Amino acid sequence: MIAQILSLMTWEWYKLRRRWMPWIMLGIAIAFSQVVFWAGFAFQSAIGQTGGTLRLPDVITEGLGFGYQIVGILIIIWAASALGSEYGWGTFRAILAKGSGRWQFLCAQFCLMLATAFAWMAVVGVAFAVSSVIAGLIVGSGGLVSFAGEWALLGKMLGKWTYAMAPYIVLAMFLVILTSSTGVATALALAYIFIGEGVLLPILTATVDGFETVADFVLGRAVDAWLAEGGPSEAEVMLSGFGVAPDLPSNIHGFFVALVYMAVLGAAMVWLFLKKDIGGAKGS
Amino acid sequence: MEDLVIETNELSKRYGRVTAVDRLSLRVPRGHVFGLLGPNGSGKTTAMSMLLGLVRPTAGSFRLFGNGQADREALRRIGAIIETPSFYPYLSGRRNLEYFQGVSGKGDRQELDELLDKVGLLQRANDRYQTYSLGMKQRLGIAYALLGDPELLFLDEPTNGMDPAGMAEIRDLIKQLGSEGRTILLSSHLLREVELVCDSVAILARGRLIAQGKVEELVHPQEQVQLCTTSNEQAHQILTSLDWVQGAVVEDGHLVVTAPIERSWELTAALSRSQVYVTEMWPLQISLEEYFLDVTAEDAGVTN
Repeated sequence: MIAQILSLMTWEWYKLRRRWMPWIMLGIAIAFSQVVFWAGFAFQSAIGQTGGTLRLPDVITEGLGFGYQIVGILIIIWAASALGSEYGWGTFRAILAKGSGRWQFLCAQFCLMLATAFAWMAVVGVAFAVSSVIAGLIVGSGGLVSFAGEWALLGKMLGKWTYAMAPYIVLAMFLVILTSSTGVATALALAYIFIGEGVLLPILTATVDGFETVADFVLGRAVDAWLAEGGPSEAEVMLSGFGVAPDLPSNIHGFFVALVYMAVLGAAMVWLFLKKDIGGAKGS
Repeated sequence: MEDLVIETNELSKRYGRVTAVDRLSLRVPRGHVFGLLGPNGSGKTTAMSMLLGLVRPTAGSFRLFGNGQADREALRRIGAIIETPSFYPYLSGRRNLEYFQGVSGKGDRQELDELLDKVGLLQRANDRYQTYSLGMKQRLGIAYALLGDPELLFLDEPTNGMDPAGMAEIRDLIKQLGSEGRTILLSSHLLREVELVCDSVAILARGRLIAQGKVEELVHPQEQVQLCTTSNEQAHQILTSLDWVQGAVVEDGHLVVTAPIERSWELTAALSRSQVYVTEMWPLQISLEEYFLDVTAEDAGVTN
């Protein structure tokens, strides 16, 4: 079974790497993170505090905190597109008629998307490292590029970010199976994130007594809790919406809530897909 | 006991109030080229999709290769094209086949070249699928169906969109595949195509099986002969006076006589005795098309 899923993953990669979309998205992620890095570098140069910016790997860890925001959105769009295109082109029929197995195919897709998310983060991280070295050369005073930071923390955070993206990937895939459409699924997933978690949740938390307990079980807050290291960062506070400082639950709470979301959405997706009739092309 | 590759039992599919397939019981023996005939919307594609596990039956059951359903092991022994083949537009024909070969876990690179050659696509194999004509897409679909050298082939309208030369080529290919011992379930609304290629047929109308049998039995010679004589009017008088001739009519310059085929020689003898001579004579045979139109019309009459 594992061998079959790995084989399917390999062939999915064979197919998907030949699309432009993942490479364009990677370019966007790198460009976004570079804008953040160089803007920060310019600001710190202006106030004469470039040292902290250039210390490896802390610069990567901090930079990837921002990189995660864009990669998290892009991977949702990519996951929806990769799966939804099968409906659009009518290729599900050809895949399943070859005996690939429905849940096995979904499982392979999910694993590949998770690996893609990890790879994108890693590439964005490398881009940060290269920029950091270049920035060190620009500053010109030897020793500013330091390797004294916490490499273990970088590894840990890469794992945490990847895990944090997993439930959103499952959400996007579930919505594709539910709607049989890339466009509708992407729109619903982004509406949930930006309107549901970004706007409604902070408003309800601020205005409804006791809603915070409910909010702790909403995916966005659970993921924030999972990612928080020693309390929320300024960026997290800002991105949580309207400057409302979140009183986040524990890491472990965040881990399990995200796991439950993954399990429930994943099971619903597989159940739905097993029940669905597979037809021809719906138009790309 | 007959070795059945496909056996369906009261297989049904309903979409809301519409019954796409209604209690279909089919028996397809091993090694047969079996035609599934029916007008558009008669349930042929839905029936095939159910057998491939793509569409869930509402009721009934089926068996493939004598046991089980459309599981992974069964599907690895089947090749199929359903309706217009669908492939990845940004990949070449070869890469599309390579991908599906990988997904099925059967076959090698050499097989791809052989299949592309077999369907006449070797020259365009490295072009993107989106640049293919409908006929080329259909050919790629047939190559896809043949991946892994399957024992059972589902071909749903395989000559759709092809020019006459291409259709003849694919017909020859299907005949060849059938002669190699494969079982082929061929769905088509082109009756001539089915008549030329298939051993047995099933006729569907509005999701129901209305006739099933060997082609040679369905298109059997009728008890009618057609004659051209030196005087059709005189011949008509002579033949209608014979008590064993059930009828004779003059139609479009020839005479259609209803009488036992084996007594045809007696017709010519009776006519020559009256110095009326036969210039042409042939038995009338019902074509599959006529048979099809008859049974579907009967079915429509019964239903209405």
